[in-house]
Amino acid sequence: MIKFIKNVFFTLSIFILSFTSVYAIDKNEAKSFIAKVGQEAINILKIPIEDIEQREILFKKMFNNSFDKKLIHSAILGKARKGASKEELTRFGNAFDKHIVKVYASQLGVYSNQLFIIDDAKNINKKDIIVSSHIEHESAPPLRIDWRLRNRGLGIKIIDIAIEGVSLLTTKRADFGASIKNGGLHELIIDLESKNAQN
Amino acid sequence: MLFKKLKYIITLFLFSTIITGCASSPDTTGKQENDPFESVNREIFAFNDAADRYIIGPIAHTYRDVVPNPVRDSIRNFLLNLKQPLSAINATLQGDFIRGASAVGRFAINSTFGILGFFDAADYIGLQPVDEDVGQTFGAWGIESGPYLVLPLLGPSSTRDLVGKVGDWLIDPVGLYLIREDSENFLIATKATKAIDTRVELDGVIEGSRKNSLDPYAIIRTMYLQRREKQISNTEGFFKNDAGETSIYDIEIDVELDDSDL
Repeated sequence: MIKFIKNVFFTLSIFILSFTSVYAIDKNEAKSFIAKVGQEAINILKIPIEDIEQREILFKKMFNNSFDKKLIHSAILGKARKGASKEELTRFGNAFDKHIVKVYASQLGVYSNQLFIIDDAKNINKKDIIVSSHIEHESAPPLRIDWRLRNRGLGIKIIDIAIEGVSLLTTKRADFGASIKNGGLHELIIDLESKNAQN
Repeated sequence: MLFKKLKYIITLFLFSTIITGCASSPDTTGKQENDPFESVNREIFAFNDAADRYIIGPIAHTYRDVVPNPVRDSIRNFLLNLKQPLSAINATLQGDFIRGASAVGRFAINSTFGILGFFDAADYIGLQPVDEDVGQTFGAWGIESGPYLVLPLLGPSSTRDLVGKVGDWLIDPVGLYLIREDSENFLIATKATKAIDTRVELDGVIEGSRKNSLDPYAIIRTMYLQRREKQISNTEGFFKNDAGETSIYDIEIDVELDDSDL
């Protein structure tokens, strides 16, 4: 009997998973999406660094609209997500989003005639497409940025960015590793919230 | 004599690192980060951090603030040009003959038309800078990075890259020429200037990780390892290299989410 129930559950899981939607992304559509995001980022760079509040508002808007935050939260937490309550996950999500907005709104630098150029779009698997781009500046070597995109039914969203070969997701997961090791997700949330309060 | 001394120092350093490292357990490594000496690495990182806050950082900031941008660019060009012969050797050893020839061409053009390399004349004819070292050559030959190391004052490295640094020192034609000409002081001055210039370039990363990170050690470690992997593969992208392989540092992103996570 138990075996039968197990089999039914297994078949049902396969059936449900097969309907979990990930939509294919057209390469041109992906490039246009990143061109739009790039323009939004340039608009943020044009705001003086002293006006941090305005930068944060615009960056938050961009982050909310163009990034798959739920997927990013889950990928960064990895195994630490297992067993976490809905409240903990929401609290982590809020603290993480605030952290990202604060970090990038202040670190993005200022606009000084940089050119944002889209190079290429490539499928890396059935789900994801990578848009390669670079930033050109007359007095600096080109800065390579790769954007990993996926559509889970929410429209095209960014799920990772790699700047000069360094991935945001991988780096953030490394950053949070010690807190998770010390006291799990709860400790990470406390550490992130106190970091946010400091900055 | 100098070789003997160097060998002694490296052996002593590796020995002490291994002994201390074995006594400690790895703490925060991801599955691809080989850091068995994490405890001792963290202590050296803390020492380097203090040295950077009070000595190296302020020197670099003064250099950045006092020396005008175009002059710093010229100095950077000059230092990069001095490295081209070493890069040419390494690119060739990696079987990349085009980039090897490109480095030779850059060195010839920039040392003459570029006035000793202060101006990047080769860039005008499309010869891109080549930056290769022995550590990258070992990597291209398939040698794994080995345990991650933090070197006193020199910062992040690995056992492969540490041996590579010694290799750079032994085969660098410019360095060997300067030593033969009794111009060690000039050689040391170029290395020191390069270190300060690199610190200026990395200012955003270092200050940013200090200010915004929960664990600056882990951030610098993963950035170093990801960057080295990219330098070795000589590909531009992170997510896939020319062979179509995903970076080993690419994390699992196929997490399962339920409907409420849409």
